Amino acid sequence: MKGLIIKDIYCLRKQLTTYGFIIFGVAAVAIMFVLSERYGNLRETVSGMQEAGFDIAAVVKIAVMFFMLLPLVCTGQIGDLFNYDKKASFYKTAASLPVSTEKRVLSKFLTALLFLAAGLAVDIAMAAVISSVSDILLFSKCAGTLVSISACVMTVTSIIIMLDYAGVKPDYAPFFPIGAGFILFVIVKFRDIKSLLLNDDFGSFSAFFHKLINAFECKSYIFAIVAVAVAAVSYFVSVYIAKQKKGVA
Amino acid sequence: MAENVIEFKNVVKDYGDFKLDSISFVVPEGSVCGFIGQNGAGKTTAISLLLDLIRRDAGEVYLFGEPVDEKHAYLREDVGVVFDEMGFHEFLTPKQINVIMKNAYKNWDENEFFNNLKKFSLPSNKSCGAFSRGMRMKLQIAAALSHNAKLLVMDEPTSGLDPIVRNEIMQIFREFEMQENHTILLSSHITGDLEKIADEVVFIDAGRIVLKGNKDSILEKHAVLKCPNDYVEKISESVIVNVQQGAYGSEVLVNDADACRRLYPDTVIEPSTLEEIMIFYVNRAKQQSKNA
Repeated sequence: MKGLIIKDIYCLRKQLTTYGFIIFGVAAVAIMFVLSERYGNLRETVSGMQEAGFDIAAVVKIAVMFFMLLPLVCTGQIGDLFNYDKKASFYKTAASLPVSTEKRVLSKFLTALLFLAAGLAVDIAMAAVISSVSDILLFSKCAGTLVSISACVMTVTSIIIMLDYAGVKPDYAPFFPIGAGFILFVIVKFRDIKSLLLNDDFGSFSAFFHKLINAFECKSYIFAIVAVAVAAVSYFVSVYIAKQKKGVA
Repeated sequence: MAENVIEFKNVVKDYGDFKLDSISFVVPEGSVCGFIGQNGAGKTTAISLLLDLIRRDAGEVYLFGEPVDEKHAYLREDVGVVFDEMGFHEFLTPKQINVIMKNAYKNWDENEFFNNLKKFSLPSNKSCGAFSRGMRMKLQIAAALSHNAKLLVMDEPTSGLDPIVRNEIMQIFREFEMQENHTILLSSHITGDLEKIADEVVFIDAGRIVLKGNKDSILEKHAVLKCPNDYVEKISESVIVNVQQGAYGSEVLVNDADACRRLYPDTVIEPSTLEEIMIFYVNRAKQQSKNA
């Protein structure tokens, strides 16, 4: 199994370079943004907007968080592994190794988890740096948000892995969980969306997002539990599918 | 150690448009078994079943005396596999493949792998995507020979290769087979290669085993009888496999060469090759299915 994880890391190595650039760029932009907000041009704009009644701290916080979350979301590129394996007909080679189907499937989940953990570690380090030079981000809340987002990425990635095993084209697989999430959101919040579109009423929407952000910041354990549950179900379903199909990498 | 390294017992795999129809054969330990048949005859399907790559519909497959199933994945520790395609990602270098395999096989021998690379003149730092087909096959063979495998399973390893590389590869197989208890299952439609190396032959056509057994005795039993066209009806039907009629005479593949030499002394009877045997049997099957 270790060999298969190493193979996956080799496969995603090309993306690691891109990933490194994203982290470097995002870190630089985020720090510049924070410093500018504190000492530079942005400070004047911010004070002007604050006078106009905008909750500028929230806007800046979201902007900085967005920069930080970018590398984390980039770790969810697991579908590419299936593309690489398919292109190389690696499934035959993998199946000829003395590794059981369970371990072959587990290796994919562990690779995803490994990349996610690396992304999370980088982001938490960035959060520590930014929160030490700026008062717009509170480290504990920021770390909570990052764990929540990691859990969401892992949830989506687990479903993508399962769909890849089910034979959905790796390029299309990410659209299913994201699309399903969007449809679920529209169904649950249909009234609010309707009132937003018809009456320009942001009230209930704004309340919902505040609740969501609060949950991201303070209740990351809920997202983590969901991620673990979805990953477990996806793993068992993937093993079942792989055994039925046999020879799937 | 089991006497038969590979055993197929009434194995069925039905794809709908193609069926591996209750095939049974064994590969004894220490032998080289040539698995012959035209493209699409069922060789790759049988090998896939042996490696548990696909599910069988019926029958049993044994490897080293143990059933081939999900619980016995460890059996593949002793099997070196060479497919007709490389099966490694093109951006990987042999050095990286070594790292992957080292962590996949318990018995992986790094020194052996790099020695094999040297022996086959393969660079260790070059991406294998830049390798020629011959080099790709050699890379697979180098990997297959580097974890102390007792059995080599190869699916068309020499197809599409030039005669020089094919000869080199056959030499590698010979060296492997000369070591004690080493067994080879070599699938190919290039029967010339198998004739040089195989001890046993399993001939499959349209998902059915047509012939199996010791190669030399199969070659001894079969012969090509050459005679005028009107002479064919004098030959006993029980010895005729198939007849190829030409403008100047007929060629008849017979399955009892000794009897034919006694019974038809006025004809020319020449030893047959595996290729001729394969062609005559395949043509017979085609004619029979046409008539049916």
